[in-house]
Amino acid sequence: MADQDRGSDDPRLAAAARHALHDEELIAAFAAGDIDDSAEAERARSVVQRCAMCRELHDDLLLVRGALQASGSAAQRAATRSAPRDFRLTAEDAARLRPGSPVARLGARLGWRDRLGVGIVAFGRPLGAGLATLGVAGLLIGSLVLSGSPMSLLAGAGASSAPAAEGTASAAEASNRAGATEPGETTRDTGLGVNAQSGGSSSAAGLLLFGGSAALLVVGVGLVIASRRGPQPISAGPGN
Amino acid sequence: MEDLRATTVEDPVQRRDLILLERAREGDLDAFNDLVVVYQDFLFALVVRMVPDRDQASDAVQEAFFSAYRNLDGFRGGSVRSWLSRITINAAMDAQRLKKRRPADPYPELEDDTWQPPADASADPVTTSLTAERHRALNAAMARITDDQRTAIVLYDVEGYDYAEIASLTGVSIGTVKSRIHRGRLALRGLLADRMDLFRG
Repeated sequence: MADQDRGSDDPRLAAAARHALHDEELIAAFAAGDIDDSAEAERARSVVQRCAMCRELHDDLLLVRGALQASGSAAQRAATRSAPRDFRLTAEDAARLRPGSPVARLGARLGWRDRLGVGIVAFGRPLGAGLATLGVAGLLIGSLVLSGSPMSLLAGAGASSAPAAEGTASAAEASNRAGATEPGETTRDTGLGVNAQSGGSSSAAGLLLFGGSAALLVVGVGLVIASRRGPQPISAGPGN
Repeated sequence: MEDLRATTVEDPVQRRDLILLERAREGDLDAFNDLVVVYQDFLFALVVRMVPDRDQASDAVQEAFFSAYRNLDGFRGGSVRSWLSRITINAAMDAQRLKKRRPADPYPELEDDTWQPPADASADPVTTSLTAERHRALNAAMARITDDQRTAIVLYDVEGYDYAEIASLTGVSIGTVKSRIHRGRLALRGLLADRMDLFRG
């Protein structure tokens, strides 16, 4: 009995095994009449003719398509069924969606808000990251300048070394003349004056750099956040 | 901007729509709401096949009307119904994308099960019952295929859009649209494998 069952199953199993090798998407495309290539179409037709399971699949796909087409379009459904709620806009919705002042209406007509939103979404991230990087770099440099860093010391040393050298030279000259008293003092005073002046201007520049960099950092971070939260407007293109 | 009322349109429905739209552009909210009343049932019926959850479908339609009102100036002539359909289909796809982010909450099956195709007056009770059963089975299977496949199938097989229109609406190539439709039908056939006798009958 068991042997008999196996005997009757074998041809079906063999057919299923053969069918498993067939391309079902090709059959689906053939059933839809979507194969442009004649050789492909011929291959599909041949498979459908030879393989009973492919033929059944082909016929079922046609039935599914027919059932879908008969299932009622939106227009047919709308004729007998109402939407579950009223979608009319309130005055508040209208005011929110289309601003009322002439300037705002003009802005809305020009689409500046949407464009800005799209611009922020599209470019906000790279631009914001760049600005934030510049800001961080500026803050670092600014803080070094303000705290009397090697850079500012170097700048100060550069400014004071020349008068000091001059002072040494004039001191030697003075001692050679043997009449002058403490020429180096005057020179030292002059040197300190230059130092104080350059220190004041560099700290002002440092402050300016610091403030500007902080502003850049804030704007950059803000742009990155705005681009992440940016609106995803539903496209309302004209293509009618 | 062109005054739509000056456009020569033979079809009285289109002409009415254009007049309402032009008045809405001028700030007449009632005119826009008249358009909403005219098209809300149609647009909901369109969306609920793509987004089988009725609450989400409602939200998508509401978003579509918001977007349409916000973009009244973007209308460039032609059919107001097509323009609204396009906006609504985009809103439905946005709803599907939102749904994808919450995969733990699948679409309920048989959500829109109450509507049945209109029965032929001469149809006997058995045929009517068979049609209803077929419809239920198909709806249940439709809720279980992928969003992309369902959208393509609804637009092509049910609503009658052509491949190029669907490609333009969904932002993919025509080849991708065809592939989604073919795979979607294969998936439906697989889901309905045990019930294909209903359709063969």
